[in-house]
Amino acid sequence: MSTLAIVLRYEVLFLLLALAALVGYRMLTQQINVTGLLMDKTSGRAISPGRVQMLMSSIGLAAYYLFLVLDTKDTSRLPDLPNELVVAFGASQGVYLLGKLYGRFATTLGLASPKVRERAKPKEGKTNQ
Amino acid sequence: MTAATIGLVIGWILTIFIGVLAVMILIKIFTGDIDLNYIISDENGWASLSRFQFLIFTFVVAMSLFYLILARTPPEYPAIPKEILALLGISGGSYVVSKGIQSSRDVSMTEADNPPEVKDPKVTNTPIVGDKAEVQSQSEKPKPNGPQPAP
Repeated sequence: MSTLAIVLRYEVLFLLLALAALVGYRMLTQQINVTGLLMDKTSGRAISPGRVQMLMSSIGLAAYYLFLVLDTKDTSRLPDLPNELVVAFGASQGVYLLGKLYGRFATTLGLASPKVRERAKPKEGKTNQ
Repeated sequence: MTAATIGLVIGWILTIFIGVLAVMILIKIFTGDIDLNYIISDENGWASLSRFQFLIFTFVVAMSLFYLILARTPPEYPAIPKEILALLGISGGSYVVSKGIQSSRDVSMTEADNPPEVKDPKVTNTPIVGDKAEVQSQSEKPKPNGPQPAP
């Protein structure tokens, strides 16, 4: 039975690592579509600060947790994540969502910049269907 | 034949099956037969940060679970602390709310005669139906959210 467990261990480990490496490589070489990942779709800005901070916090938290797992002594449970980090992650998501909500209603409430208002106008030559 | 032997035989069959399946999936991804191009894209063709975040957490949690399961002898499923569930809940909730806001925006823009920009699908080596010409014609179909041509 121990041989079976060892074979299964390396098999699944190989699958997970190969899959992660393949997805990572394809993202870096843009074979996986990453266009507009950081773009603010409402204003058309190439970089949205809300998206950048969310990307950073997600990658940072994921990396930190992987190190916690590799460093843990108690293998009977996944390692605890400090509450402060969970709150910080929630706040990061909140900032991103508030930014998105602001972009959604800024034009309606008259808070949008002239450029954004211009984008929101119906294009010429179009009629209602 | 004892129950232990039967269990061992079934275990080996399953292990070999999973191994062959894993290799086939990896080969098909590598050759492009399984198309991952839009794995983190939304319905308009833009890369979605929420989906990307989901992808990262899926890999992290899967690898962590697998690592801890196999770190014990005999292998055993570890307990999952509530902070991790909260983390996944926040991530999932954020994705749902984000999609709601985006859909609401897309609908209001379409109603205002200014539909959201849709990226053209990139033709990949994934055969959708038949040969290359048919794949090309698939990509030339009218955009689902875009303006329809006047009759």
